[in-house]
Amino acid sequence: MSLTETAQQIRRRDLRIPLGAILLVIALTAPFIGSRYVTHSLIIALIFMLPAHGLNLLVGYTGLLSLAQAAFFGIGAYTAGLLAVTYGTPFYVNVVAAGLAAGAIALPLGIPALRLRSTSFVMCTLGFVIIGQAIAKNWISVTRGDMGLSSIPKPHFALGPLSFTVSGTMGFYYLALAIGALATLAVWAIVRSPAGRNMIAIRENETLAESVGIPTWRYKLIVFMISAVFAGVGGSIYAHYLTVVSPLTFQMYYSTTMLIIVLGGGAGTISGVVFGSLLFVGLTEALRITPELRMIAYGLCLLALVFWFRQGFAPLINRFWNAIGGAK
Amino acid sequence: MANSELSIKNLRAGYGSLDILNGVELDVPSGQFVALMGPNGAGKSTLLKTLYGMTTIKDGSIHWQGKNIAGYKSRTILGEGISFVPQGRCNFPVMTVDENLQMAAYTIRDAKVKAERDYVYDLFPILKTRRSTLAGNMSGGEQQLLEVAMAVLQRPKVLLVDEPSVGLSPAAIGVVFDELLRLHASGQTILLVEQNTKKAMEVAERAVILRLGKVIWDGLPKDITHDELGELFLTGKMRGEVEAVH
Repeated sequence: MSLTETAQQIRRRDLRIPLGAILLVIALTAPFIGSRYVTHSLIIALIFMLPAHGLNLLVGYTGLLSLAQAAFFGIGAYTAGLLAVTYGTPFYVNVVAAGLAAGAIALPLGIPALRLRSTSFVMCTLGFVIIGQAIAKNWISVTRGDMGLSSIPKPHFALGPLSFTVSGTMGFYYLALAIGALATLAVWAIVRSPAGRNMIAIRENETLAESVGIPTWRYKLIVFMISAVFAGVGGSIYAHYLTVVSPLTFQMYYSTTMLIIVLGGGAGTISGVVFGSLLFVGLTEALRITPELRMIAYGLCLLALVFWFRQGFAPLINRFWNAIGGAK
Repeated sequence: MANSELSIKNLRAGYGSLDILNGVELDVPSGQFVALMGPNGAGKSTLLKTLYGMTTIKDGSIHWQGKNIAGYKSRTILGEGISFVPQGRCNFPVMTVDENLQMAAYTIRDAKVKAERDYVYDLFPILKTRRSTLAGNMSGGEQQLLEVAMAVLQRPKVLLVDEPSVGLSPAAIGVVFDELLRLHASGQTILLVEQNTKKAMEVAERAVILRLGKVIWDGLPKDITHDELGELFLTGKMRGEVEAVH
């Protein structure tokens, strides 16, 4: 390699660092730049990024298409809501409990569901959302039915002498940003581990994975549970943000939104999910300014995606990132 | 057969309630290269899958080194020294050659993985030159070699190979079969299912012909001509036998 070439590469690679820095600055200062409504949209996008990350582990890395994500999102929201309203437990306890509850419920649901393959599995997961909604509506003594749970307190932290409540949109944005960043790191760590490679092996060729000795069924069950944990945590933050939980939290619309984030962003990529949450959740929120055209515009975006970006936006992002990084 | 390592007796197996094998009898001594041939639906691939624990066994036994392994799971059978190269493309296309071999070494303890991989690279130098290439970006022939290598990595006593020539160019088929011959020369027992009967008869020491889930002919490849083979495939009988009936 010649000296000039190296110098050129260094010069070109510099572009990625400034861009990364700019994105970081934008992420950290977003509430000051945009209106309160923009900040709200970003919070929703960051919250939806959690179940989407979980779904990506399932769809993108293990190759299991699931529509159950909204069910675990709802379970998380109700767990946090019930704990906060009934027992007054603090925010962080509720978040952890919501994740654990969703993961624990995923176990008995996953054991029979994962015996099914392809379409049958998808139909089964669809059933979970509908059952979840029916329970939330009809188990009135616990869930208060259609009335829902209201006045869920805003996150309150009491660390020794330091005690504060995250009440404003701005404060919540930073909380959601921190949790979103943690979740992204967690997914990154999972995917990079040997377990992540075994997941990809299952996605690529399940029979072969089985024949080289990977316990595929156990892997799928564990990933199903992990993805439910992500959804549960997302649901609990959603509950604390909106301060209201209703049976509408169990919505097919949420499951499809999460699926669109993953597939549209780029299944099997982390950057795709981050970008997808901002784009698709942000887009639906931003398009509220033209209510008449909102769903039409959204539909057109999805059509464009199907025609031009079958693998989602991730390949595009990667190409751009490599281009400014000076890669071949 | 005295030194028969693999002994199949009256094997009936299939998928669910559907029986494909209807009483297969076969003995394979150690170190033999056997070609399993027969028309479509004869049960050739099913026989290999059954040996590897991937079908439902109804009756009969598979004795391997004195143990009846019928009904064992694939993973256990792998541990007993039988490896399977499935039909069609069967690698992890988005992983490199190195990573594919690492996956194939899943059941091997970490400390030994590298040694086993080097062993495979010594066997297939062509794979070593391609070690950082994504498997999906290699030619069909190279991918087939990788798949054989993934099975050989476990140092099996018996290698089951299902139609390695599917979708390959004649040149690539030549390379794959040369490698199989080389493995056999080093003492590897091989059970090969092959549609390309001409090629199979060239390399194998023994030809076994299946039809409707039964062994109908078993002998040396040189004892049967291509026309006779076709006759057997279609009618299940040799010309001579047909005439004898009349």
